[in-house]
Amino acid sequence: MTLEERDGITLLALVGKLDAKGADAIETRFAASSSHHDKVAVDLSGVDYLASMGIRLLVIAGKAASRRGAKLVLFGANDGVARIITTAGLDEIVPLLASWDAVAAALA
Amino acid sequence: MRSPPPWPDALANHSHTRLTAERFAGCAAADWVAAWARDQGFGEDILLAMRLCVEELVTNLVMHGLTDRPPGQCFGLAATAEPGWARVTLIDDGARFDVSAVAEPGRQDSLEAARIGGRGIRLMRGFTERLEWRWVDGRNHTTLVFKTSSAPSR
Repeated sequence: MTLEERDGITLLALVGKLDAKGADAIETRFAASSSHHDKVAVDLSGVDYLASMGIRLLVIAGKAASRRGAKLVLFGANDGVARIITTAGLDEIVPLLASWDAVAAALA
Repeated sequence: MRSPPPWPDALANHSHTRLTAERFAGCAAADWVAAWARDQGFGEDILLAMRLCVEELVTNLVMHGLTDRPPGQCFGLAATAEPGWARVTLIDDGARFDVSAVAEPGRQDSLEAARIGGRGIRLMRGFTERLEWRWVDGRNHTTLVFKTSSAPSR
């Protein structure tokens, strides 16, 4: 997981498998990294697999952001990961965007 | 209470494995089925669906089905393929649970009201053709049915 600032947005890039083991490995660091910023974009382009325990991680971060008036969006998911996100209904509550331009517009 | 019948089970003639229901058993089960699916020559979309659904099914068992059982419980997985179809069956000694009968969760209207978990069954329904369940000799037999000639239509 990496963290950087870009255009006033905190960019959190996740990589690898976000299965039960992968989610467990980053849970504490991801929650801490996403909880101190007003505009957070989670880059999923390096994620090749996502299971419900990884989705749980994203829902928790989204809910925490919402509670403090911050915004959190997802972007860059490959076709398989995007299908998992839409099937699980995660995109109903956390925006799933296709590109950085869309992220910048959503978080402007 | 009578003891369940001994392993191996009735599916022993198919590709099968037996794993311990530890914390990350879902990942181990997913790796096993992914290797089996790769050996069958299935495409990446089918492989993803099988990996995902098996992980969800086993994770659900570990988190909810065995909470009142002693640690170190085992479960079995068996996989079969025929032209156009594949079936993966989880056999476990957990609490009686018909996953195919669980009501479909409704659409979530807001992040604030959204549940944190509970997406595993939705994923299994979305990535299989159907879910089947039987109670046989005191064990759950839960089968994930996949269409392998093309991506599942749901």
